[in-house]
Amino acid sequence: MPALQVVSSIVELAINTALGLARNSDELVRALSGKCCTLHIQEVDITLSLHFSLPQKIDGKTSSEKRYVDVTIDDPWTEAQKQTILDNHAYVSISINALPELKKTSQLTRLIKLGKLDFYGDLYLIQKLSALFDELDIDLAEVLSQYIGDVPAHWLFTFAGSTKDKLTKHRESIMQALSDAALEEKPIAVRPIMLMNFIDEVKILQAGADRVAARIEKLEKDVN
Amino acid sequence: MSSDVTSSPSNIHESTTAEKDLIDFGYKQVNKSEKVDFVANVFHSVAAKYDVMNDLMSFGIHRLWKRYTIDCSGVKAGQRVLDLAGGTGDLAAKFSRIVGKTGQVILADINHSMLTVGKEKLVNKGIVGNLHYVQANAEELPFPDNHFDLITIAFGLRNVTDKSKALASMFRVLKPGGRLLVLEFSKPTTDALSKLYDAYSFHVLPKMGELVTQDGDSYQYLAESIRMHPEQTVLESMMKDVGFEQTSFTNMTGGIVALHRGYKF
Ligand SMILES: C[S@@+](CC[C@H](N)C(=O)[O-])C[C@H]1O[C@@H](n2cnc3c(N)ncnc32)[C@H](O)[C@@H]1O
Repeated sequence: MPALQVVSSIVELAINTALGLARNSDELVRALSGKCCTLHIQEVDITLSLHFSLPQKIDGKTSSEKRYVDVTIDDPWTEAQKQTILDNHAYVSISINALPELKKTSQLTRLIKLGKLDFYGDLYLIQKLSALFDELDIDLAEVLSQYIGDVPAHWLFTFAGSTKDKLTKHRESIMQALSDAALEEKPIAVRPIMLMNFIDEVKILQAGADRVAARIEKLEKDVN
Repeated sequence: MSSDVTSSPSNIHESTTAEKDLIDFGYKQVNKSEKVDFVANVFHSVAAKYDVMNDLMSFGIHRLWKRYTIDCSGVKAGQRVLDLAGGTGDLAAKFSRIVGKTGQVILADINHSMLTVGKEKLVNKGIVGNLHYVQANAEELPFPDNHFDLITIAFGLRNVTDKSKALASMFRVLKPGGRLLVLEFSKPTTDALSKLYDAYSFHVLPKMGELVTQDGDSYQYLAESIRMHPEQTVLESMMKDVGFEQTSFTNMTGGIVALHRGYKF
C-alpha cells in the first residue's frame, strides 16, 4: 500500500478540516489560491506540496465540498528545479524543529539568516502560508453547537472556562496537596526496615525447612 | 448486460480471418466491432453506483492508488491534462484544482452515462471553469498533435478494444516532454496473493456487485478483464513499441495494481 499517500491524505484532511471550521479561511486562502507551497521536511526527507484553491460558488451556492488545499508528495527537488521555480510557487526546506516557528511571520527572515530555512521562489507566499496558520479564527463553541446544540455547547464552554479558572486559582494549593500526598504515600512503599524484616523471616523459614529435611533424611536411613 | 457473445475460445478456430476479428471480452471471445458496445453496456449499468462500488470493492484503497498517480504526475499550475477513460472524474477533480485557472483539464470517456455521473459530481463539488467533458474513444482521440502535458488513464486501458492503437493515439496528442501514466490492475507478485485475489474477485466481487447494483455480470466481467489484461512487462513493451521512452512501472499492493510511466521526447 502506498504508505506516504496515507500521510499526505491525513495532512490534507487535517488542514481542510481546520480551514473548514475557521471563520476567516476564505479571506486567508484568497492570497494563496491558484498557488503552491512546497515544504521539504529535512529529517524525514519528505517533500509535500500544498496546492491552494478557493471553494467555488455555483449559482451563488457554496459547493458540497469545502476544500482549500490538495496535498501531493513530490520526488526530492533537484537544484535545477529550485533555480527555475515558477512565479506562483514557493519552496522551503525546513527542519521539523523549526516548523512551529514557520507560524510566526516575524521569524521567517531570522530563520533564513540562521540557515534553518532553505528557501526559493516567492517569499510573499510563505508569509501568507505563515499567516494562514497563525491567524485562523476557529470558534470552538460555535463549531460544537452545530453538533450538540447551542445551549449544551454554551454550558460546556462556561463549565470548561470556570474549571480552568478554578484550577489556575488553586494551582498553588493543588501542588502542595500533591506533594504532601507523595510524602504520605512514601511509607506505603517498601521501606528498607520492612525489607530486612522480610529477609529475616525468610531465613527463619529456610532454617525450619532445612531441619525438617534433615529429620526426614535421618528417618529414611533408620527405616533402611 | 447482453449475453450475445461467443462464450468459449473453442469456437473461434474455424478460420484465421474469423480469429483475427475476435477479441477478448473478459474470458469470452467477441467480435472486435462489438466489444465497444459490450463494454459500454457494462459501464451504463454500473455508472450510478460506480463510486460506491469502487470504495466497497477496494476497501477505499483505490483512493491511495489514485493519489500515488497524482503524486507521480508532476503536474503544475497552467498545464494541460487529459484524464482519459476518466469516468466519474476522481483524478480530473484534483488535476483541475492543481492546474488552476491558467490550466485546462479534459475528462474524456467513451461512455455518456459515466460522463454524466462524473459531471454532476464534479459540478456539485464546485469544480468548474477549467474542466471540460469530451465523449471520445481512446483509440481515436479527437485532439491535435502535441497538445497535452500529461495524460492519465486509470482503470480504463483494459476495457479498450485495441490497446496498442489507443497507446499510439495518446502518444500522438502528448507534447514532447509530456508524460503518460497508466494506472491499471495487474499481476500480483506472489502466488499466495494471486490465489487470495482470485478467490476474492471471482467469488466475492460479483456477489457484491449483484447486491449493490443488481448486476453481478458486470463485476464478473471486471474480474475476468483484469486477468486478460497484459501483465506489467508486456504493457511496458507495448508502450515502448508505440514510441514511449524512459518507461517504467511501480507495483502497488503486491502488484494487484501497477502504475506505468512513459515519456514522449
Ligand atoms: C473502471 S472505469 C474507470 C474510471 C476512472 N478513471 C476511475 O479510475 O475511477 C473505466 C472507464 O473506461 C471507459 N472506457 C472504456 N473503453 C473506453 C474507450 N475505448 N475509450 C475511452 N474510454 C473508455 C469506461 O466508459 C469507464 O468509464
